[in-house]
Amino acid sequence: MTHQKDLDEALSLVEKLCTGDQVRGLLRTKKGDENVRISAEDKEDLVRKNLRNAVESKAIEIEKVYGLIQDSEENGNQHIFYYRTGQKLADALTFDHVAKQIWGASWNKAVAEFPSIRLKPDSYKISDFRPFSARKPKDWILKIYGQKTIMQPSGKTDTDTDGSVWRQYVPENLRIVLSARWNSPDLLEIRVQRNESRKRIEEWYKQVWSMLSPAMAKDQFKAWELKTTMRNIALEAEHNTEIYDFRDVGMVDEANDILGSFEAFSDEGNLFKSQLTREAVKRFLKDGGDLNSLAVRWISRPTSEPREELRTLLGTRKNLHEMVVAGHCSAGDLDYVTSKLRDFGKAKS
Amino acid sequence: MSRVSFEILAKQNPKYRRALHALEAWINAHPEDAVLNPLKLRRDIRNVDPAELAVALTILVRAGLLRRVYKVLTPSGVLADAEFDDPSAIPEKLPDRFERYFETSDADVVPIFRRTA
Repeated sequence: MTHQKDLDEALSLVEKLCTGDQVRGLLRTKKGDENVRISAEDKEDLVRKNLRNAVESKAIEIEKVYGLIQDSEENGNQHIFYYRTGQKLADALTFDHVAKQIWGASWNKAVAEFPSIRLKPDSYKISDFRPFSARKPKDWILKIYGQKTIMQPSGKTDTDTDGSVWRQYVPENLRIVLSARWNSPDLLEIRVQRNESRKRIEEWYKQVWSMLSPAMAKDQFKAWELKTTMRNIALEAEHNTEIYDFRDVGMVDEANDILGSFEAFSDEGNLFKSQLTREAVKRFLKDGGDLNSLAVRWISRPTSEPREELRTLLGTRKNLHEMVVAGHCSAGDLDYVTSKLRDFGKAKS
Repeated sequence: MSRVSFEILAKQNPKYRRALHALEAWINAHPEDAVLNPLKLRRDIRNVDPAELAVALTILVRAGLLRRVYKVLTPSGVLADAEFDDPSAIPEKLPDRFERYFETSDADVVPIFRRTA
């Protein structure tokens, strides 16, 4: 019964979060099995009939379905807040140590129950804790699911005889996915899904720290500001045209309290196609100005990461240690970007 | 993106031959642009009447070579990232380029054309 309910919820999430290609990709791994059909009328049939049948007949393990969900909800379409810590704490933050701090001596038993798919109404709970990648064995991710009922405008309005206007709001269940990702050797990423309300983002960010608190405290970390990174990315753009380009910059003249920005009109524009803009940004930086935001497009590559183009906003004017990832992406592609940020943070310009 | 030829469509729509050929030349000169913005086209293609250009774009949409989508201008006057097939699907709030959300009810909605091949 429990297994059946988990499967129902997992499939419903797959339908909502994953693309048809991702589902077909999973089914293709068992192509030839009599219980696996790949073609379907639409995505609904693909998930509700083909994938369900493949899992129920045990042709595909449910863990593989969880894997699909993980890929889709853990990486991208989120704010990432970067933190760094000292060597001593970094060395201590092993998977086992963190698990023991959170769940106590019987942590093995608690962790073995993950991943958990179900939500706790109007609350938060840890839904997964696992090593993040075989490539980097010291890395881990702790995932939190939350659920909150919010009121959303339905779009319907009504006008009274006295001219008063009534706008209808309907309750909506907001599914919240938050995570903390230890990216060894020294980076902690607090990941919070995108939302139109900055207040909610701040609340969720605090929630992650609160759930990490048995194992670590925020004041043990220092925000990893991307000021130098953004500066180097902008100044070295001409030498890295095959790696990235950028579309928008937010600029700051701290000494004089002046903010400015350049934005390409098209959402697919490239700011550095204009020599005038390029020279202006460079001159501004060389004469003591800084960047507080930079919208970077990381160009896809056929044989290595990033496999797909990735759009990121580095810095959000207020928070220089924050990155916004526009769409969903793979874990590897997102790690590629973080490793590039590390490289550009070191490079001299 | 690959080079295009609108000669067949120009033969079928002789009144808009000049506009179709101008669009063909523009697309072939901008192979990396997956999107055609009418405002930019009007600026770049000055020797064709804007009304004829608009009809030529519609001919390309009907031929399945372009898809009409709608975008919203941010308060700073640039295109927001989100794209909609139907303007009625635009949500009340959208993020601008710096992830600040703005009310779309006061914002301009612009049609643009996305290449399908």
